[in-house]
Amino acid sequence: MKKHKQFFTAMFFVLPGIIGLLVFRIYPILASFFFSFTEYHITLPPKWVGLENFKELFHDPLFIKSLQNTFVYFIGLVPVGLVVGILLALLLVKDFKGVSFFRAVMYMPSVVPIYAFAVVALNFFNPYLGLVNGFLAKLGVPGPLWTADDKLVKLTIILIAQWGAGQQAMILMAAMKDIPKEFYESALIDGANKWQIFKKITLPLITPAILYYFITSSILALQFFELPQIMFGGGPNNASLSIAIYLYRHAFRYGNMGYASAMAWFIFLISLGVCILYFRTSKKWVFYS
Amino acid sequence: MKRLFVALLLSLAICLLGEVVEITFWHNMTNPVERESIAGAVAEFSKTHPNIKVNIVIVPGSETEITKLMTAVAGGTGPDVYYLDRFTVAQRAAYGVLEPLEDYLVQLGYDAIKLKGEFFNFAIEECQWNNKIWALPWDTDNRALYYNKKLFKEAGLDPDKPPVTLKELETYAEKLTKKTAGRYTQVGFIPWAFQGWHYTWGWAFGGNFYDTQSQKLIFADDPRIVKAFEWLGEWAKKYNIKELEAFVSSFGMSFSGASIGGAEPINPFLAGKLAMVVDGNWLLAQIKQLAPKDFEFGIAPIPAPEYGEKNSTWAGGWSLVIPKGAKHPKEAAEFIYYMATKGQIKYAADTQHLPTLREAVPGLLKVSPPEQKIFADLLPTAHVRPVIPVGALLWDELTNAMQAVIYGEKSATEALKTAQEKVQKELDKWLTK
Repeated sequence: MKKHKQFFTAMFFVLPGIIGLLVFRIYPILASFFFSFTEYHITLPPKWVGLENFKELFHDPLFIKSLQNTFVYFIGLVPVGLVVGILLALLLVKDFKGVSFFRAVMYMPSVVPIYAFAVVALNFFNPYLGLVNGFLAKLGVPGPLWTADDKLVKLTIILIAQWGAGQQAMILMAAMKDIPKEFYESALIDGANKWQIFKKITLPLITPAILYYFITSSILALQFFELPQIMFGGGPNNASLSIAIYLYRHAFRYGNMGYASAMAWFIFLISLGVCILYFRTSKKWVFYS
Repeated sequence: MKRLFVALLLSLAICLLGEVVEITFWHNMTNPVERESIAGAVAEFSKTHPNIKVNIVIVPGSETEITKLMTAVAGGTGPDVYYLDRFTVAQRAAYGVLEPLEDYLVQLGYDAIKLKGEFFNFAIEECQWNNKIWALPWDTDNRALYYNKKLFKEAGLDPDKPPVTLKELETYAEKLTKKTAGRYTQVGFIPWAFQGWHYTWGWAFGGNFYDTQSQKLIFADDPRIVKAFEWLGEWAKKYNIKELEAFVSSFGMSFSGASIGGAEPINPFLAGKLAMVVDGNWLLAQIKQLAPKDFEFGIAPIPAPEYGEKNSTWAGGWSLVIPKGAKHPKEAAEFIYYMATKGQIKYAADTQHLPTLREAVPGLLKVSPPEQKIFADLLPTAHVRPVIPVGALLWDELTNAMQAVIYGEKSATEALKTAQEKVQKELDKWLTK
């Protein structure tokens, strides 16, 4: 009897959270799954069209373009972010005076609102007036037309996106901190050089953190939205258009909620596939102590 | 206690005298001049209509993104009157977002045919879908060529002879373009900058985008529109699109339509770095406000090829509608009629926006600079974008096609064909209903 009462009291306190989860997360997910099989324009009742939306995706040249762009973001953002993250982590893991100051500085950019950052970044990479090309000109190198060139714009965005690398650097650094000092000491005694130590000790032992990074960053890269939308609105010539931006256009400009839902589920399926791939292969490369 | 008693008495008196109906009006005019003019018109309306109280709610938002309205309507909390981009009226009507305004106007005793005659054709045309009026037009705008007289003189051109033909436009632009150290320091003309849209050039070349009779999009099969796109592509190749984009990006602009970083860009025309530009009549107010004191400019019709349309222009603008599920549609219709007629006369004089009500033009011309007359004179023949339920998609697809052509990705024929097929497919879904 008392247990029952405790249960209900507990439920009473948990309920707001559960209701929030059900109403604002679970329901929309299920609803969008249903809508992805319909033609739905918010103010009109949804009309069942079966797999029509998904078939349409592969006949829509702009969707295919956005898919290609998203793929470029994916293969750019994930490895570049990892390399930058590891390099930063290697610097910050060292114990020297005032290192906590540098750690804070490294994390600071992640606190800046993305909008404000995008505006500053655009000025940095402005082909004519920007700091980057100004610096290159000082070195006697003619700067590329970063933001104006439809062939370069994705690369520009990938470079700019590294401002958030402090986040993964923190996680990787924490993993490095967990590595017992004895490993390094015995390696030094055996006469290993720095590269060998990194390759044989540091890298294998931070693989669980790398797996975590791969999964989270891959999902984020597949849903990449803010930077290309704020900076270029998907342009020039739709060269920076990601699936998420195209989805947004269909949902809120054309009111095609059904088609947009199909795109959302398409991204989800790709994300799921990528995650399964990571987990399947993880036995081979992740070190589980 | 005493106050409560007075309030009770007052409300009783109101009940006896006739019920006061409160209607909610959403608009997005945050500019103080426009906002105050609207408030003034509403105040005058309440004097003549004491039984209708109008609550103005300012809901910031952009032209085609009306998520707030859509969700409010779907949730049953929408306003009674909404300020809607006119070229999307057909789309919203088809999507079931609007109440049939015409029915309420007829109930109130207005004559629909007479009413249509009070507005310019293009404007009332945009307000109709399935032979019914869904909106009454509000203000409008149209487009022409602006040129910088000072730069004309510097380049040895006659400042009183703006280009008329495409050939002239090309030679003038060449003379007005300056490049130092591989960078543009001054550009003569960029056809697709500002209001140089696909529609602008398509119509200037004498083309047609849509056939109302057969309800078919025909732009990809119209050799004149293909020619217009090819011309844009040649221009982009000649001047190098990437370098032009880099040039405008130093003003915070972009051809993809995103004003970079969301900030208001600096206008290279007003800065004296772009010699000629196709833009709307609203630029007049900006010139007055932002251009240097010695800024000399002229306005001319949009240049056209010999076979094209002389003095071509197209108009956009806004309208007033009753969203679906409005609590007091009849009172809303009464208010919309007042605003579109008497309200518009006041609004045109206050803000110098071009009106869609024929009667409001003289009042506008009295207060505005003489250049405004050029735009006002173009109103009777102005084009409007095809009145179809997929207008926003058509706009974006034409923009995509234009960009694909100027970036040299596709040929004009191919880009237009892709766009036409895609939009026609969406359009057909609505026509079979």
